[in-house]
Amino acid sequence: MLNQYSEQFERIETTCGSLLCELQKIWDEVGEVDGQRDTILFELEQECLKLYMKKVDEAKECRTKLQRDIAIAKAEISDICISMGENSVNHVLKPVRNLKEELETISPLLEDMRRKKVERINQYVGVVEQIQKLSNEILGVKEQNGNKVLVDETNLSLRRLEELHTELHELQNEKINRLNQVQDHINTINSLCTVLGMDFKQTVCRIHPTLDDLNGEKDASNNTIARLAAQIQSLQELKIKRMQKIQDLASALLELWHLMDTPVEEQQVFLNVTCKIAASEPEITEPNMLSIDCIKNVEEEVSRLQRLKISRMKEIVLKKKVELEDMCRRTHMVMEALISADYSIEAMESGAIDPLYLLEQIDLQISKVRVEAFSRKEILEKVEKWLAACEDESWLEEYIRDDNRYNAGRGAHLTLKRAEKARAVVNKIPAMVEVLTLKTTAWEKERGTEFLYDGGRLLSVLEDYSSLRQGKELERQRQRDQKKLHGQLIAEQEALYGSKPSPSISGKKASRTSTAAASNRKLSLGGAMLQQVKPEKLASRLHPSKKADYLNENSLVNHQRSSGFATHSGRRSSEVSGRVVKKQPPVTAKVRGIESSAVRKPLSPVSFAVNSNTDIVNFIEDQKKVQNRQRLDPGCKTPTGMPSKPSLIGNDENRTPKAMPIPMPTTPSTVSAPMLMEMTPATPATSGAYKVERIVEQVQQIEYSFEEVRAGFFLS
Amino acid sequence: MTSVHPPAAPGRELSNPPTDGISNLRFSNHSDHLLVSSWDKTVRLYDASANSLRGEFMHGGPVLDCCFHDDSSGFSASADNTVRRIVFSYGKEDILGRHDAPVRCIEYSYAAGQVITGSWDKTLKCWDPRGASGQERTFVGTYPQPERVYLLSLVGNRLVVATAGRHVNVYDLQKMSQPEERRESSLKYQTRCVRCYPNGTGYALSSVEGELQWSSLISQRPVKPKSMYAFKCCRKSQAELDIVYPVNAIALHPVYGTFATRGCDGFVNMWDGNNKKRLYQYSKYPTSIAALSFSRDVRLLAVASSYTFEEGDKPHEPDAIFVRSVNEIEVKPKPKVYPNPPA
Repeated sequence: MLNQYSEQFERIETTCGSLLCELQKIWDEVGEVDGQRDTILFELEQECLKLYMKKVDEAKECRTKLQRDIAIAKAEISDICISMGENSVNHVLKPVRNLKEELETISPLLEDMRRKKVERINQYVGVVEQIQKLSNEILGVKEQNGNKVLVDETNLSLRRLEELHTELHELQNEKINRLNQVQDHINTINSLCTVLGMDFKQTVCRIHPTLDDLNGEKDASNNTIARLAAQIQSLQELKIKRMQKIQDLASALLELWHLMDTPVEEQQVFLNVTCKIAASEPEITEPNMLSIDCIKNVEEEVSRLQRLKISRMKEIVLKKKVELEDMCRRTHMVMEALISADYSIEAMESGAIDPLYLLEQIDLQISKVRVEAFSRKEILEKVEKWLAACEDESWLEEYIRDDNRYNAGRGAHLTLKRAEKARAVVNKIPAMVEVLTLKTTAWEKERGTEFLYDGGRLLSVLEDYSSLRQGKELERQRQRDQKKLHGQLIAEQEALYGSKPSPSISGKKASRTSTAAASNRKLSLGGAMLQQVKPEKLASRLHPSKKADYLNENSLVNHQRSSGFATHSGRRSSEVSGRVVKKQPPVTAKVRGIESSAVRKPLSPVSFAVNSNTDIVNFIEDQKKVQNRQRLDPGCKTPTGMPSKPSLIGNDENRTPKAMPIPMPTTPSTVSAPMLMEMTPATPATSGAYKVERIVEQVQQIEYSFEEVRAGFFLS
Repeated sequence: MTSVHPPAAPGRELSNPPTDGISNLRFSNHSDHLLVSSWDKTVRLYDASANSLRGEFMHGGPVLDCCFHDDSSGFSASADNTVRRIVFSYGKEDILGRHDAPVRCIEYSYAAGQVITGSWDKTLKCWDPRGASGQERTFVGTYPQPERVYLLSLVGNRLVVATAGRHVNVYDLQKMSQPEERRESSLKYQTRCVRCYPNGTGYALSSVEGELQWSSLISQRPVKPKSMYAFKCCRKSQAELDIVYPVNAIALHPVYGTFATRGCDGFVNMWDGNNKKRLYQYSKYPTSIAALSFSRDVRLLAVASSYTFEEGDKPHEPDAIFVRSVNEIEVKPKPKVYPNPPA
């Protein structure tokens, strides 16, 4: 090249030299002056130099440009390398000869680097975009379109990318966690909603519409989670509130059940409620357990039971009141303010008074009255006696006034006897009154209050009575004086005609019973007497003679029945049975006391069934059913092989010796109760007879025990 | 179920209960060992205080009754007509003898050293367990009864036998040839349980219809003028209908003379016979109560809660044995309360 260029230069020089030579020749020919020649040569030289200088400048310019380009490219490459975190170009270019070549080697490198950079930026943008999206989701910010992702182009290193990736990963994890959390919350809400009987979808949609969707992506922003948590909190609070409510209700329910012995069938309905009475909040999981309906149901039941309780309470209060009244009546006390207006049922109904309080009050009163009654008992007995005596007295007065009293009618001797007795009693009255007065005064002194009898003061009554009696006594005295005068007259007559025989008073009891076809008058008297006896429980102790009378009458009735006074005895016996029935209640009451623990209504049919039942019951059959059927139709021959009725009756009579000689078809259960309780052993004679019957029965039916039935042991 | 009144623990339930109905259980007179016979053809020996099964003895048929001899051996009455002697330590059992029908009940008399068995073949047999094995050498005597023997009860030398047809015979073990007393149960229905008073002056009977009767022996009668009475228990009023339950057995308190009854209603009641009052009702057991026994020191009461087949074959609660401790207050008679001091 150089040679080529130097040849070129030489050629240029030779061309120029030849041209100068030509110019010399021309000038020589022309004869140009030397001056001119110098000027032209100088100009020529100047012009040539100028041209050269221009070209050199141009070439310089081109070189600088190239150099600048190369520098820029290199700088860019190193920039990119630095930003991408790569070591700066150590793949440094192979040695180059000149600038153009260098530029040519650098520019593809640059292109490459630029491409890489774009790629990296794209990667960054992808990651950052995802990050932004996730964090937006988490923060709950709506995505803003057109919000271009800004990437810091100065730092595009792989490490940074790695960091961004881990950040993204973390965010993704967090997203998953949040989704799980949301799912958990939703599940919790779901279970709470089912327990509380609320619409789950509605509840959840109110928080975020996406939450309802089962498979769709669920919103997991902070806001949503917070709202979910708040919702759970509020639901839980609601649940606890309701739970407390329902537990309160349940305990009320249990209390009421317990109080009223509610049957199991009725309880069954609310068992699911009551079994949760002690459950803690998380234990209650049944659907609709705490729904408003359920609570309402339970509430209704409680209020129903409460109403029932109040009505029962009312009954009890009424019963107690009646009892109190009865007791007061029996002890002749006036229930002054015991049962004042505010004890009334109306007050209780209106809620002015707690029935329990009322009951307590009445109970208190009852116990007070009982104590009082006990202290008054002795005096009351005496009063009773005294009143009876007074009655006798008034009867006697009446009787004495009857002028026909000595007419020998039917039963007149009985009346006479009664009169005699009455006289004896009347004679005792002053003493009685005295004792009574003494006792009463003592009582009053001891108590510091007045002894009231049916509202009046007993002492004043007694005083009245004594003054009345005194008046009567005076009257009688006067009469006696008159009589004495009269008697003197009669005595004078007696002296003339002889004395009258006195009527024989001593009647024999035996004659009385045998002939006592009893006039109406006597019957009513007897009835009256017994009526007086009746209220006294200890009749037999206080009035042995009357008791004997009573027994006598019984036997009398028996006698009459057998001798067949049809009309008369019918009336008598009905009367007697009526009386027996009246006397029965204390006995049954006692019976009830004995078996108080085995609760049974006194008139319930079991005793009847037991009484009329036979001992041979086929136990293979359902026992209770049989018994039930028997109870319903005791006389009927059941298909289970019960013995026929005649043997049944005979059986009964043989086995249980009757305490009462009179069969009482109207009141079998009351009579049978004492027999059941105090069974007298069968006498040998009857048991023998019974055995024969048993054998006959055994032919019909053989009894087996449970074990025999189970073991399949049967007599051939 | 309901948590109305969380039922007071019905007592400790023994582990490994029999797999079928329990026919009887008895406490030993010397320890807290409990002998249980069952329809699952076994006799089991438990240590009630340790709640452990000490032994299990298989039989050829359902075992209807069992009793202790001493702490090391006992006797059993089986439905395969045999009377067996069981030696607990060896697990050995030998046959004392046989009846012609299932043996329903068995008692051992310490006074006479004899085993008395009652069977549905209408006989009572006595055995002497001290004789060597084999029926010929152990057999003492056989005593015909009017009906199938259902129950025996024994105190000292006095033996009360209850049979079908409500017969009750009272024997003196020293004079077995003739019953001391022949009686009819005055209860109306089949006898379900009989127990002698611990003092030997009388016995208590119960029937399938929930009645219970107290009865003194004739020879002892002058002691107590009111020697006989009956009352009802195990009854439940439901609606219009009174349900009566069989009284399955009676356990008498050896000191106070109070007694416990238990029946098919699943309740155990303590009664004070003299005052005719119920003292205590234990909480309900899952099913019928088949048997009941006080331990020797009356600290424990064993209760067999087991369906007694009173309503035929039907599904029922699993059989279980409960051992509960007895409070003094539950069994001690309450002092008589006079509402009004006698005027």
